[in-house]
Formats: sequence, C-alpha cells, structure tokens
Amino acid sequence: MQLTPEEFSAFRDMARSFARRSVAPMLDHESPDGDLERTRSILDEAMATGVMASADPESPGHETGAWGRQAIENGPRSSLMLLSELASVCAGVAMNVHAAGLAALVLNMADKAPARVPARAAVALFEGGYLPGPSAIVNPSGAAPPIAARARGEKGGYVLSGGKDYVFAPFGLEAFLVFALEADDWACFVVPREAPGLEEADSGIRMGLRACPCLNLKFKDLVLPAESRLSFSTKTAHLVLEYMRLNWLGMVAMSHGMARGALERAREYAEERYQGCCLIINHPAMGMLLSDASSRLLVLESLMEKASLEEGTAWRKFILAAEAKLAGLRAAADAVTDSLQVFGGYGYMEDYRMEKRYRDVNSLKCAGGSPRDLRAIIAETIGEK
Amino acid sequence: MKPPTHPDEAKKNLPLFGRLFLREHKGDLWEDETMTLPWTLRRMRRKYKAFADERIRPLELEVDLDVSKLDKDGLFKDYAKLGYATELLPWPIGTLPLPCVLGWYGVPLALKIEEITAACGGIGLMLGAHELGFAPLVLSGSPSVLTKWVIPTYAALKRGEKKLFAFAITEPGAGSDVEETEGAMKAKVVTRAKKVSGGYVINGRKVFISDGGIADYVTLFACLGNEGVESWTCFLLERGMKGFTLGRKEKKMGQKAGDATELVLEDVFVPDDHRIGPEKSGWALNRSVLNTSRPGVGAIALGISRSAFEHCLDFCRTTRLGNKRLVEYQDIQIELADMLIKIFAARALVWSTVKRFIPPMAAASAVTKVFASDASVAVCEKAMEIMGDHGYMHGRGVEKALRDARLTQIYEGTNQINRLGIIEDLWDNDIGV
Repeated sequence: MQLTPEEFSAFRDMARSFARRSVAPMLDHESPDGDLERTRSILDEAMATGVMASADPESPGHETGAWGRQAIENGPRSSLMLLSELASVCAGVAMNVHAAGLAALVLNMADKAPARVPARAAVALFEGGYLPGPSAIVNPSGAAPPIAARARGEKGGYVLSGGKDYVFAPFGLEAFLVFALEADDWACFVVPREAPGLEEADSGIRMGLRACPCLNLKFKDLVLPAESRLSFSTKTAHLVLEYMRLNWLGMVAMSHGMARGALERAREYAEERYQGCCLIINHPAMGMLLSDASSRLLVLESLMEKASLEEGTAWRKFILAAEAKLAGLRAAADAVTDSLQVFGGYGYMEDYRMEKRYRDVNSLKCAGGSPRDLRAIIAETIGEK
Repeated sequence: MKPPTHPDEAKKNLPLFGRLFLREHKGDLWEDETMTLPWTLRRMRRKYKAFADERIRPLELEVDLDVSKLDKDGLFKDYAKLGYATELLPWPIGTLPLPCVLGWYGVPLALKIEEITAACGGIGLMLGAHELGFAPLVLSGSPSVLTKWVIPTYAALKRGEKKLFAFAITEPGAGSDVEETEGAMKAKVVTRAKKVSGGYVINGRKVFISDGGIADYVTLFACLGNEGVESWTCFLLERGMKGFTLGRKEKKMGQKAGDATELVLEDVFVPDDHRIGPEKSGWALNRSVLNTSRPGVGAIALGISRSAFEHCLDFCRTTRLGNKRLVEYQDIQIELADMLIKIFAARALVWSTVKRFIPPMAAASAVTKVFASDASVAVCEKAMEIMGDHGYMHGRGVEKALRDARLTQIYEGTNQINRLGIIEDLWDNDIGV
C-alpha cells in the first residue's frame, strides 16, 4: 500500500529528526569524519527506530526501513527519502543503511528465508572495481572479463572460490550475500562472516564514506551447505539487474542529501558572514554559486522522481537508474563544490564539514559504477527497445 | 613493420626539406616539451625533476597521511643548498642564471613548482610558500631592504641555512576582500601597526598562513593607526619576537604537508628597519606580489594535474579489462586526451604568462590562476572517474591529487575574486570604455 502524502511527510520528519538527533552528534568530534566509533551504535538505533531495514521479520525496520519490505510492494520512493535525509548529515552512515537495506531486500525477495536470517548483511557483487555490463549480467558465462567468483556443487553443498571487491559492509555485519556463477548462471549464497575459507580485508584508506567499512573478500574453497543458496521466483540475473538499479538509485538519493545539506550550510554561512560592508549572500558572486547549486538540486530531484516512478519495463528502469546516477552524481558533486566555494578558505578546512561532503560525494561518484562504467552500460543499450 | 601511413614511412615520400617540416614526436612528452625551452632552462627543468623524483615523490602518500613523517627543515635546507630557494634574483645575489633575466625571469619558478607539485602538492606548497613570503622583499624595490635583508638572507640560504619565509595578508574577517581593490576598501582588517619611537607596535591576527607555523620570518601587512587598507604597510616579523605567537593550526582537506597556521600579534614591537618599503606602500606591494604569485598557483595546479594524469595513465596501462589493457579502449583514450588537452593548455598559459621581460599584469596572472586551477580539478576528477572504485583509494594517488587541486581554486583569492580582478584590471582600457 502506498503511503499517503501525510504519512510520507510524517515519515520524512521522523527520518530528519533521527538524522539530526542521532547522527549529527557524531560529527562533533575533531576527526575529519566525526567519531567513527559511534557508527555502530547509531546503526543499532536506526534499526530500533525502523530507519534501517533488516530481513528479520521481528525487526522494527523490516517493513519501513530503507529498502525494507515496503520497497518491494510500493517502490523505492520512501527508501530514497530516508537515504537522502541521512546523507544530508552524514553520507557514510547513509551508506551503511543503504548497504544493509539492499541486502535485506535481496533476502526478502528470496522464495524461502535461510535457516538463520542475518540481521545485518551486505551484497557482494562487484569484482576488480568494474561493473559487468547488461549483456554480461544476462549471459554471465560469456562476461569479459570473466566473473571470478564461482560456486561448484560438491557433496550436497557448494564450494565457493574467487573473490569480490569494494563491498560496502555495514558495521555489525553478520553475513555476505555473494553473487557467484554456478553452472554458468548466477546464484546467490548467504555466506556467514565466520565461515572458514572466507578472508576479508579492508580495501584501504579511502577518500570518503569512511563511516561505512569497505571490504575485499577472498573465497578459499569456502564450503557452503546447500541451503545457503537462495532461490528466487525470478531469474537471478534479473535480481542482479534490480540490485544494481536500486543501488544506483540509492546513491543518487544520498548524493541529493549531500548536495542539499551542503547548500543549506552554505546558505546559512552566507547569511551570517560579512565581507566588506555586507553579508556575502548579497554578493552576486555568491548568488551565482548558490543558485547554480540550487538548480542542480532540482535536477537531482527530477532524476530521482523520474527514475523511481518509471512504470516501464525492468530494462527501461535499469537504464534510467544508470542515467540518473551518471547525471545525478555529476550534478551533486557540482552542487557540493559550489557550496564549498561559498565558504572560501573555511570550506577547505574541516571545521564546517564541507570538505567531508566534497570527499564523500566524489567517492560516491566513482563507487559501484563509475561514470565510465555507466556510459558503457547506457551505450550498450541505446537503440534497444 | 610500420604501415605505409605511419609518419615514419609516409615521410619518405617527401623531398628532404619537406621531411624537415613534418614534426615528429620522439621520446617522451616531458622531454619533448623540455626541448622547446632554451638550453639553460632545459637544464634547470631536468634538475628540478631529478630533485622531485628523488626527494619528494617517495614521500607523497606517506606524508599526506602523517605530516610528521616529513623532515621539513632538512628538506628545505637541502632545497636551499641546491640554490632553489634563492631564484628570485640573478647571480651574484641569487641563483637565477643570468640568461633567464633576458625575458625568462619567471620561468624557472614555474618549472620548479610544476615539478615539485607533480611529485606532491603539499610539499610543493611548503617550498613554494617561501618564495611568496620572500617576494615582498624583492618587489619592494627598496635598496635598504636589499642590503639589510635580501643579500644576507640569500647568502645564508645558499649555505643551506634554514631561513624560511611566509606571507601574511589574510585575516579572520578579511579573506578574499584583501585580494581585490573594491572589497579591500570595505574590508574589516584588524591587524594594525601603531608608530612608536624606533619602530611600530603591531596587534592583530592573520589566518591560513602557509608555512606560518614553521617560518623563521613573516612578511606581514598591517594598517597604520586607525586608517584603512590604503595605509597597508609591510613589516618583516621574526620568529620569537615578543608577543608574536602561533594560533590554531588549520586542518585542511589536502596539501597537508603545507602548513597553514594562525598568527597572533599582541603588542609586537617591530623596529623601523623591519619595515619593508615606505609606509603605505603595502597595498601596491601586495598587488605586485599577487601578480607574481598567481601564475605560481597556476603552476601548482598544473603540477597536480600532471600527478593525477600520471597516476591514472599508469593504472590504465597496467590494468587489464577483458582481453586488453584499459589504455587500449577508445573511450579511455578520449578521456586521457581530454586530460592532456587541459594540461597542455594550462602549461602553455603558465609559460606564456611568466615568459616576459616585465612582470605579468594582474589580468594575465588571474587568468592563469583561474584557468589552471579549474583545469586541474577537472583533470583530477576525470582521473578518479576513469579508475572507478580504485579512484577513491588513497594508495592510487588520484584522490589526493583532487583534494590538493581543490585548494588552488581558493587560495591567492578565490577564483570568483580572481575573475572580478581580471575585469577590474582591464576596466579602464578594455572593458568599461
């Protein structure tokens, strides 16, 4: 059932209040990314208040959290709003909620829940930092470069080999949902974090989104029971496409939140800061920056609206999401950099957290589908009906 | 076997003189561009690169994470001993080769800054800020400053002594204001000098001062008494002067090896012989310094773009996607070409601006700074985008380049202020007529 406008508005107020009450205080810390130690407790609170989704039916966010069950029935609109609100304060926290939510969505879409439902999981799909194109997803055995993560049936179970890279893995993670090739087709496995043969390593020091861990995984002949494989009513390849689509849309929503947060801070600063004899908001040069940022915000909102309300085929929705990420992240990065410029030298310092937004938005632009990957995907499908 | 359309083969069909007109690209691009310079500058460019490769490049990523890993004093002394900190004046006072005076005066500085910042933007700022701090002494044109300060300081630097300079104009309530004429008239400048017997007493604060925390000397601009910025006068402050202390050390997004510190002045007595130039000559001197330094910011931006390009190219050469290297994909080639176009254009602009008999005018300096810094950010962004998820990883170098590049759009006047400065400079004769 779709939320009424009043319900949607109340839901947004709740998300906004959570972001300001529970997330914002972590940034009152001298570290450039705030007190990262607090992220886990913020996520626990997000789960308890229903902001963060979980596949656990008992969890408050099972239905209403970002990418919770309601997203399957009602579409992505309220999830995007939640992510945008969180990212307007801290994109790293939003990335945790986004990653956990998408994993919950995959689990919720399975025909049968696994014996032990992980309360918090992350999807592991990408390898080598590059996305497979649409044709490689539909025909994964012919993918170039080949998909390295493979599962082979053995002794009534599966043995997983290969690896995955740049897996955004929320704090408190219990399992990975690994997409691998089995008999030349996609299969999705629930891999508990403590499974023997699973090696995880931090992907390294990153420019931004540091509140969300990012891992590289290696599967060393990892043995899995048969029931760890999830089955779906749809083809698993279609689920991969849907996962990628929603991942991009969530990123567009987070970039919208970052751009909005940056613009709000810039406007506040411009209304307080004197230069010469007047407030800088009255300087046309500042007006140019703020109005450009504001216009880009509108572009982002339009992209989100169009991509999330599209009623066309799954294929059409997929391409729209790719286009939204390509154009939207560019617009968001431009809006953030224009907002930062309003602060002059102070924007470059850690004090106003504008530099954090700049680092976060530029990281997000390249994450889970760089502009180059997205162009290749869009180009591959241009002309197709 | 080269195809018949390859330039090497095709040129054989031309007569001898025709072959001479067909310019071929031999060797690498860096060396090819070096060969367009006069012999003295070629030699200098190669020396700068060797220094940067040996002493700075290995520290690039480590120092970005932990600036305490950089021995700033040691590096600066070695830099000075090689004669690189004394190139604002020619031999015998400085170390600028005499042929450079003949129309190539600013070129060595631009070449040096590009090479150093191509190795590390932050270390480039740390070393380059010294030139900025020392520039008022030279540009004041004052014989007494020359004999009292310039000659002894240059002699000490050539011996490898640490005499590091910083330049202080920015104040908490007057940042970009003091980089533009109209804004400066209304700026809320708080640093003031009061004339007393034998000197001046200075009170106030300066912020975001590059090398402020490590400099031995600071060229600082202050208003006289209760007058406005038109009374600005330049003073030379020495570290350790009573009442002269360091305030907060800024935490920046990038160029981390370059220090940015607040200077606090509480009843600092500055003797008369520490005044640089006549009273009230500070505003003109400030303009002169900025006209000289903004192409230097262009060179910093240029070096950082080169760093991003080189890191990205290395990635594209060594990363295989499917059955071929990334660099062999047409879309990647177009992106790399776009980056090169911006780097070529920025270098052409920087070299053209500094390659003059007379110092560059304000408009040309600002054009260079704005174009090169915007180009640099665009190149770094493109490099990150090409590298996808690898792009935001610190170990790959390009995210650092983007963080470093972003500052070049802000310091030495934001690019907005510089754009207004271009129009202001051209108003009387070109724009407003």
